[in-house]
Amino acid sequence: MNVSTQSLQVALEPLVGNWVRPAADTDVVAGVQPRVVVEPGCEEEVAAVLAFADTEGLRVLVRGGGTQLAMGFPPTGGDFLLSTTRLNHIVEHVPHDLTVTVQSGLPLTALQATLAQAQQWLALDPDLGAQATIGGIIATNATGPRRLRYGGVRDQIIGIRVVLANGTIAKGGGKVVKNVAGYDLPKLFTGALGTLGVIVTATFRLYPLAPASRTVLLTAASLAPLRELALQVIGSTLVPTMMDVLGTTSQANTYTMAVRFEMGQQAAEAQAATLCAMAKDTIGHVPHTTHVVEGEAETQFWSQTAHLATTPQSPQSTVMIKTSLLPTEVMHWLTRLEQMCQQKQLWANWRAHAGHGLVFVHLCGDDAALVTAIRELRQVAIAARGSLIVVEAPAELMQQLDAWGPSPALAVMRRLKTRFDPHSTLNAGRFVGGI
Amino acid sequence: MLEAKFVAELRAIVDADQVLEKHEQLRTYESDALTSFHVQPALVVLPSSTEQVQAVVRLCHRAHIPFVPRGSGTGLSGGALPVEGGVVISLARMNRILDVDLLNQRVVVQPGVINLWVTQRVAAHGYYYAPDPSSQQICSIGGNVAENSGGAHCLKYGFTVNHVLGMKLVLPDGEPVEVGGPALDTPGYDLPGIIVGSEGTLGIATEIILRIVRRAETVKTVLAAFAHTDAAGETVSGIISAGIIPAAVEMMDKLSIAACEAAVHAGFPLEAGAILLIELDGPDAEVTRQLAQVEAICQNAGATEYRLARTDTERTLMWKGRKAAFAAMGRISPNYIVQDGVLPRTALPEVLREIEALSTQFGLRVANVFHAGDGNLHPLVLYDERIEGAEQRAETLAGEILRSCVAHGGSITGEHGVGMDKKDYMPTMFTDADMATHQLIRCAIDPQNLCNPNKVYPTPRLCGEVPGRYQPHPLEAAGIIERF
Repeated sequence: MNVSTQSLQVALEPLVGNWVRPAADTDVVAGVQPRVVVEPGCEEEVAAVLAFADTEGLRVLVRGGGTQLAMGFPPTGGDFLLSTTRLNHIVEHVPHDLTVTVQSGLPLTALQATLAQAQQWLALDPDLGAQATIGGIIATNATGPRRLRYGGVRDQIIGIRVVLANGTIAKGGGKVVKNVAGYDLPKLFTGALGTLGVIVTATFRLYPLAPASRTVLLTAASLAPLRELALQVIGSTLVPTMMDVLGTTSQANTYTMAVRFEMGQQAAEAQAATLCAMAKDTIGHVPHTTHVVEGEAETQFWSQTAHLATTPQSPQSTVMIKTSLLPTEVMHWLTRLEQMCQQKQLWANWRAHAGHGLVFVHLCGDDAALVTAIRELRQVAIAARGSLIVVEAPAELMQQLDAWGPSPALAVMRRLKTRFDPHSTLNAGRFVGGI
Repeated sequence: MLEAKFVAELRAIVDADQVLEKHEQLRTYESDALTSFHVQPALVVLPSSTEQVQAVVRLCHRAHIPFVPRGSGTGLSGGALPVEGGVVISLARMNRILDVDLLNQRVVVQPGVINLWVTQRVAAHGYYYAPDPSSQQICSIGGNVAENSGGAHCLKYGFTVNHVLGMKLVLPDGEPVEVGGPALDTPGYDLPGIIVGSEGTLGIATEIILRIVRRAETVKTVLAAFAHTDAAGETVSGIISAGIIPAAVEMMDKLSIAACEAAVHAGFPLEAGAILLIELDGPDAEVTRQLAQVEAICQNAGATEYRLARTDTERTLMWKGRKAAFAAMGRISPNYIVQDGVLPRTALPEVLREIEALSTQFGLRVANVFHAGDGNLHPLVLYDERIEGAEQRAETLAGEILRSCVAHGGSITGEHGVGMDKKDYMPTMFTDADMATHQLIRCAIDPQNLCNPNKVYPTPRLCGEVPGRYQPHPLEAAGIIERF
């Protein structure tokens, strides 16, 4: 579609009360420069904007806080960018029902601050910037270490309102936790990368904040004993909220395992002590250290860990991958990762959620080496019945990598896309198989 | 009636004893546990493998014959109601547990496996399968997947959808596909998320990957009695406000208590206006701490009795009393309707008063059993079918309860499904645009509307031609990515 920025702006202005501006360099999405940025203030405006685009054959890119715009293939077009930032209200929080309904453009951090006043939280802790929005977190299925105890986005979301490409406003689910009326639209839109419609509001179940916390930090010189210990923990009556294994090629043969217990103080202390004893029994034969942290030291440890340090100063490309594995396979895969890094002279820094099997890795190195390494590592993951996606990479490198890898159910997914967004108006080309 | 050619082709797929055609054989399949709807199918087929399911479905698809998948037939919404002139595909013979992976806490089962078998299989190793519908001794995992079954422990542990990681699915055109997988976050749309709870309308799962859960260090069950349901409701709110997520909180009113006592003799206090069964589980020290809080909350709300189960036998008996609730109604009434509605917990006292008023207005008794922790209400509307018009009045009353739930922001079904029974209530929750949008999913997967047709939604959406035309992605054209 060939339209001028000015004519696009003139056409969109009446639909959104003048919340249209020419796009800047900072509005580029994976190498694609939209012409204008539209910021609707309500779902009706979202509907009007999308219906216009769909009728005119325009391509729309959707953005929340913009923390994960590199995810997926570069879009195959983007006439304008729809930003959800003005949809940033808490619609309803009912503390006694442990539920909250929020607009999609609200940052998670802002939501958590409000919920904390009622001693509650939304059990999602993705490792993203403070701007990351609810809508973006749903669309990218972003989750963090506490998924071990609470599950992911799909396990928290109970209702959704969306606007389809043709401007239809529709809801699925509801405001109650237990509800089986109708097809599960909230789950369909979770992780769909905005390819089926624009999320305008969502309802979640909530959890009470834990009264106390303890973290056990273990270090060891090899991965094998940590694997053994991690499997023993998930098979025991210990109920950690987080269990991470951390490592980097910058510091070979040093691994940290951090296990957090969040509950009443007495129970947290007892669980931490049980874990220390378990470690002594299980990996006592290899050199390791164990200590329990609490309070400031604990908070500090986790906030440092939360942000996977990016790269050392390097002109080379950095890529972030997410591998999903069965818990038994995590350490095997990490060992292959280390071998690969050594062979191909890559730098890596990783955080493995050893209890639920998601592993996030920052890799840095020569482009060609990165491409081969990621392909091989993906094969290893798939052979172990897991998967590997590229979460972040420079646009030109993403072209050479298959961001999502193969999907045996791709034909069904295409059929869904075709029904929901027949003209590929939304986030065209970004998702699995180029959906 | 089915054409002879179709029947012959079907008989070529399976053995003779896997096809039922005789009138008296077919009668068993006329309805599920909601017996007010019944339709005799033209034929029932009982495949014993994924390949047979595929071949049967492919044949139905080609011949344009509607088919209805069926598990144990314990559904309460008519979800397994046959289509006249159609085929019922019973998965009862596909009942093997295929794989148990304790280290990864995964179990792979065929759809006909009974819910409780999964727990029995892994119990010795300290594990269990969390979703526990009251019918768990007879209901099948395939049926649980279709209905997204819940149970008493949903508040803390979630529903079937939270415990199904992936499955082998036979699509309504007979094509097999694997959705999800043993590891989390399979790339692409969350297909297991939409298949689970689709009430058998999007295909037939033939292998299901389940997550099992480690049994908690400590489990404590308490029975607390109150003079009135209001005090019981207040207690539930108090527990949640204290930051406690109990493994289960069940409420029963006076009439339910009487019925259950008559049937099971669980020792429920007959004079109480309401009882709560509260279960806490987790680390020892945590359960001890929370139990003290729960006791204080119960006493503050004026509990007339507070009884902690001292032994496993006592605990089991309390649960047996609760789980017998539906069946026990037969002791106090010739007929009853089981309703399944959901409301926000905070609306509980108000909705209970509305139910009381409806009961007076209609001149029918209503016994109330709830999963109080998650607001899932099971009012049992009692009536006598020999009294003219009573059944109709009971149905109207049951419907009014649903309207009350929806008016308070709840749902028309928490776990029994919409099926045949409640599709006309869907418009109380959803607009036409909502329902048309939901049905885009069916149009994508079953455009011919053959797989368990005419359930869930009051008006099936006409799917029409596939809109647009597939265009290869530039990366695909360049040979970087592949289509599968």
